Amino acid sequence: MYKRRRTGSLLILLPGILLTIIFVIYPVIRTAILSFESWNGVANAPKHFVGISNYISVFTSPKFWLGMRNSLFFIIGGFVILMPASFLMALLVTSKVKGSGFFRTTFLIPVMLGTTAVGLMWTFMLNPQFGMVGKLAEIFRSETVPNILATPVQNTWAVVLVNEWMYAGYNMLIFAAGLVAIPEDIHDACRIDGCTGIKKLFYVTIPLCKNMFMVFSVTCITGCLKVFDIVWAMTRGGPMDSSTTPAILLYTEGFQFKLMGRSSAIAMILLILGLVISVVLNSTIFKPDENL
Amino acid sequence: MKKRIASVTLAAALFTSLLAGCGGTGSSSNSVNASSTGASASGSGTVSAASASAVDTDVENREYKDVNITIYTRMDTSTKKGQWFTQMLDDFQKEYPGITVENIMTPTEADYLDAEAVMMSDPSSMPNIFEEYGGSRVLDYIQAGNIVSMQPYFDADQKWTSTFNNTGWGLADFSDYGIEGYYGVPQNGYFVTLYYNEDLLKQGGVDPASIKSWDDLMDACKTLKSAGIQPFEMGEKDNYRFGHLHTVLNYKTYGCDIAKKLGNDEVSYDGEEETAIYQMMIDAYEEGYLGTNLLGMDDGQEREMFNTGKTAFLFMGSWYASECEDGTHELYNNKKIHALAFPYVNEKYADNDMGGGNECYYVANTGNEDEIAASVLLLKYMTSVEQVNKLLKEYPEISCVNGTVEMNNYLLNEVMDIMQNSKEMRGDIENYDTQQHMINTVRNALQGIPTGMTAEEVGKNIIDTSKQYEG
Repeated sequence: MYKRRRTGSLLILLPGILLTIIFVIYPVIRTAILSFESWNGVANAPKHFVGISNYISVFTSPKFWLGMRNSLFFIIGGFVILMPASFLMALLVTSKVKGSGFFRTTFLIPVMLGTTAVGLMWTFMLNPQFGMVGKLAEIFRSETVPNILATPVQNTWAVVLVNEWMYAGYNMLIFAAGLVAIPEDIHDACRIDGCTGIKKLFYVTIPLCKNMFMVFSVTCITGCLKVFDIVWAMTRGGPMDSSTTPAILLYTEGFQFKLMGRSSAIAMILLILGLVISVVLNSTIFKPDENL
Repeated sequence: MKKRIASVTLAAALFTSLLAGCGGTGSSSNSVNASSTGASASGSGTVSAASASAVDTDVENREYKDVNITIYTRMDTSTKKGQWFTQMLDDFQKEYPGITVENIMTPTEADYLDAEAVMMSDPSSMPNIFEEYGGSRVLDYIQAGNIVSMQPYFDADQKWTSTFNNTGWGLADFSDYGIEGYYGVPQNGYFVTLYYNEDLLKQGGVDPASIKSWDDLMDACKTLKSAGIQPFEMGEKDNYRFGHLHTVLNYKTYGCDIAKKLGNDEVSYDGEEETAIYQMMIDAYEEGYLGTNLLGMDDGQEREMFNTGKTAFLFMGSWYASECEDGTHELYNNKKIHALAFPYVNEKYADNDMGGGNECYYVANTGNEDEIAASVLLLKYMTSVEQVNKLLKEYPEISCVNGTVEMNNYLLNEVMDIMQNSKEMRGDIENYDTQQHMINTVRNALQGIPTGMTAEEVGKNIIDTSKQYEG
């Protein structure tokens, strides 16, 4: 009986296991192998084993560290701007204030627009000649109009802010799911004990949303490490790689510079980094609290 | 904990999924039957063209049954050329019902090249025909045995071969790399000139006939600027703009031979010669002559500024004159735009220019003889005088095939007159380097000029980046 049930379970799991092996495990293994080879990305061209030289090239490349710095900007922006903003938005839409339905819809519009549309829209708005920035400069009669997307550091932060603007609504949903899951009894108990307002927020609501913060943190860090689309749509990592990220580097090294081995090495570094950070976060800051 | 690690492992593994699909299966083995297709690859990278006798070159009389081929181009159906192309494909399929052509178009250059790299990374995804610009990119494909030599087909059909002029052979010829025979079918050419707005120059008090040298041009820019007229608005967001300026300034300063000298390291990108070129660009930029928002504007916006009379000059290839033909261009319709030879820096090289073949088509070596024959047949059809005449009527351009119709584009005719005086022409200077990354490396570094880099820093950036990519 048990054996038959186990066989049945395995049969049900089999398609999932096969898909995971084909689309996740196998590509990772191929990438790992390629990261120790030199290949120009041309079909039928020979591949040569080069040991760890691709990794050495990546770690000694100023472009890679510039990309890592820019990813760090995304992570900082994620925790300092996106997380509080999304949480506050979630508080607003789950509260009983008038018009919360309107806010719920409005906050979700940016994420529904799509990255390319958002990227292009903000690129035009930030254009010093015919964008919003240019018009504002005209209104304030400023002699110099900042060319934000062409200025190193400024351009990365501009993309970070656009990214937060776009994803605030999406992350709001994560936090809102946590907020509505808090049992009504706990709110009633707080009210009876006189724990309201800010006190309730810090001592009850936020601790009970710990899992949501964990989900946010893991998705934010891994997402920021591999951020590609919004940067590509707004600056293509330029000018002069000033707004590049490791994921953009992965793409350009592979498909523009035809260094598939080096590109794979970047992919493996990102994979390992994402893993390590996620595990560390899960086992330290977000370790399950036995008192709760 | 184990479960958590496993789930995080799976999630993070998705990072790397992008690359692995591109590997193909053959690391050193070449599955393509080279002898039957006219190209053979060896491990050392030397390639020789097969003799015409080994290849069935009679592609017109072959029987085609359910042959599917793909053609990957930069055509744009919103242009007259794109419309001609679509019609030509329809006509071809009507004439050869056994062949079905899948048409893939990506008009933007950067996106096109990126997608091409992805397609050419695996034998199963290679398009049968694709458009390229020769140089080291195509060299890699040839060395891997992925391109069919067209030499047997040119040899076998002299009537067709004789319709080509000399404009575009450079894109199909890899003899500089020790590879014999032609590997592509050139379609059109280009020539870089200086376009000017007649009214704006008159308004600024500049006589276009006085602009012969780079110094003359800088003087004209100064005069225009003081009259409140913006000379150029270069769209350096598309970094080929400074790439082209760097190339043409090199040819006009040192002659076209500089391309080879840079390619074989006889001249260095951080040497005295090149630093002088960067400095000329920096000086023009700092005076505000080249634009006011270089990194915020792309080449389309640059053209639009010129088309709407907001700038006096446009430095661009002859494709600009062809595009004017779309009928909506008021300045062109009123014949207010004219062409000048790009000013020389050293008078000795006044007749050395940037130009040559522009678009060339290559047949991928898929190993399927029917597909290869159908692809060659399509290229022969596309470059037949009949089809070229249809194209030139709608969209006059510098064609690699001698058409027999008169072109009514006055601006293109002016460009072609200037081209007649050119003694030597070369394409992008970086393409003569065996290091394939050079075009990206140099263009990327030149973007540093509008961010305030000095000439020495630009040169150092190119050399430092090159070191990272040395094989």
